[in-house]
Amino acid sequence: MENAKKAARKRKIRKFIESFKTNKMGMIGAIILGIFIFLAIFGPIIYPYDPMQFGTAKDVMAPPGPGRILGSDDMGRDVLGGLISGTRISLAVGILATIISMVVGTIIGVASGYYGGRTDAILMRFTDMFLVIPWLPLMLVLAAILGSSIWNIILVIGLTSWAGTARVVRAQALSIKERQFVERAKSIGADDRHIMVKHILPNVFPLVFANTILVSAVAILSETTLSFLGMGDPTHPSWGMMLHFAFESGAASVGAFWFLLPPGLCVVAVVLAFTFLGYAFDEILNPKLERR
Amino acid sequence: MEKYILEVNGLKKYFPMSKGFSFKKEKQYIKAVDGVDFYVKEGETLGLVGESGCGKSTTGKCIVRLHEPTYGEIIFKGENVIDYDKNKLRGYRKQMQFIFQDPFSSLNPRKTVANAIGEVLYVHNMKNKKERIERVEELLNLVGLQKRHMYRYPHEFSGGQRQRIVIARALSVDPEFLICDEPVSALDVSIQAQIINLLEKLQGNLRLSYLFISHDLRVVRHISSRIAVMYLGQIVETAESNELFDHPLHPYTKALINAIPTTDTVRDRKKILLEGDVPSPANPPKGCRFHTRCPHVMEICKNEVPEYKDIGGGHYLACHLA
Repeated sequence: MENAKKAARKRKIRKFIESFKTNKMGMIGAIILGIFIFLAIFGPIIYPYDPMQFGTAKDVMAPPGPGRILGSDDMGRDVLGGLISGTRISLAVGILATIISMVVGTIIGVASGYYGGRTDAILMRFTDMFLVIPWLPLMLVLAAILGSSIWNIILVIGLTSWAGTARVVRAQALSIKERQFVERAKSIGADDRHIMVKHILPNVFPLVFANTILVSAVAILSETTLSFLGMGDPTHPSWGMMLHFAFESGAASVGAFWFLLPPGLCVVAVVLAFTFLGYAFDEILNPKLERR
Repeated sequence: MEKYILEVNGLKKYFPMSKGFSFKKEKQYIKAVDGVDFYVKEGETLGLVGESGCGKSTTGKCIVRLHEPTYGEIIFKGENVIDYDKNKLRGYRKQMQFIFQDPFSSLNPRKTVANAIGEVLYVHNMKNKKERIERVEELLNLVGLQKRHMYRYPHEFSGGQRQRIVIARALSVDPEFLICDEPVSALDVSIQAQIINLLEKLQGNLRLSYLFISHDLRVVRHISSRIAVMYLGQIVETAESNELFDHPLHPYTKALINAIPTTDTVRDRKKILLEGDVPSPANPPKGCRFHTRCPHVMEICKNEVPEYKDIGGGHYLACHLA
């Protein structure tokens, strides 16, 4: 019997993969993201790099050439090495911040939608507050107060980006709680926690999942922004940090494009990949957009 | 005196109307259920019939306290359910299961059959995981489904099969009373018969009592030992099933029975056609609620509410004609 359960799950996954394969946007996103994830995991093994090892005077802002494919930066460090080790930091910060944002957003959204009434009003005004406060100044202030460690950056990004998710989840929870199976669960004596966890959560999950991917893009962009503005953790150089140093050292004015462009392009590529994936998942998982 | 498993006295449910701002001092109410009395004997089926919007389902939901009644008593096995606190209510809801009308929306689309049926056991902390699975198998057999259906999702089943799952789910905690809220009206006629027969079989085997809510008189006649006819939030007539069909006394009951389609083309029936629509439950007519549509309306009907009383042999009636 356990096998039947597994088979049902397998069927579902196979169906999902099949419709994903036909989605061009999704496939491009998946491939780009796949490359970066590979780099994040295995990059430092394939291409060892130590951010604390500075070059000599002749290495400073040296253009690309043999031995250094992407040239070197203002401290004579290899740009390609920095880029690869930055991948890990940027992705990790983005994903962890997204998880925080999703957990907070989902809990607030489900509670707000399910309980309704006064709870809903209070939680949603709180959410509105986070929606209308300009997020960049808020993040800057929080990062400045908490100090620039990598965990603080994750926390700050996570705690400022959940409001949209909470809204979307609440809307869905509102519609699901009126369905008959929820009423029935009440009639058998189930408590609120059971109904929220077992009935509402599974039904808002596809939405949360599609949203997760879109929020990841924003989180990575936020991290880059914070680091670029000098709020990053200097012991964990990310792409944003590289851009920060490139800007500070005047890489643009001396024409050191090899220092400025690669981290910028990487950020664009990853954000684009997440966005593509997000739209693809939405198209597949959202029954209203399903193509038949 | 026979034992009543469920007794409902003077049940009222008013829903407040709140459309926009109103400067009227008096709050308006939809009087969905307005003073309903009935009882169900142990092991019998009471059919509750009436047209849509007359308060049948609301009555059912009040009994399991999905709606809090505005007024009235619900006495289940000698105890007034209205006074129950949270804990006692849980125990009560174990003995009183509710079967909803639509088997398509009363099953969570993201839960397997095993999860759906086992849920009630889980909620009431009964049995461990392995025992629950065994119980689910047993229940599936009981309602005529197979073990291999256990890990499928609701969308893989037909309406009739889904209703079987819903019934299995209701039976999982060995309830004593089932409220069936139009359990077959969403199904094909041939499937209706199967489900009705299943419900009858289960009643015999498991000593269940039913409150069977429906608008389909033929179905109700088939399954019920007694029938209560509801009109605009009130019960107008209650009698033994055959008695009600052979000697309907209330003009509304007569009209309902007359409206059942038959295959009998030879007999020349005099048709009773009711004029007009059901009045709004927000503003029910004075006097007898049926007087606006009654073919035998008298002066007294417009002013005085007829008393709902026993006219002999367990036949209850609320009409000035009798």
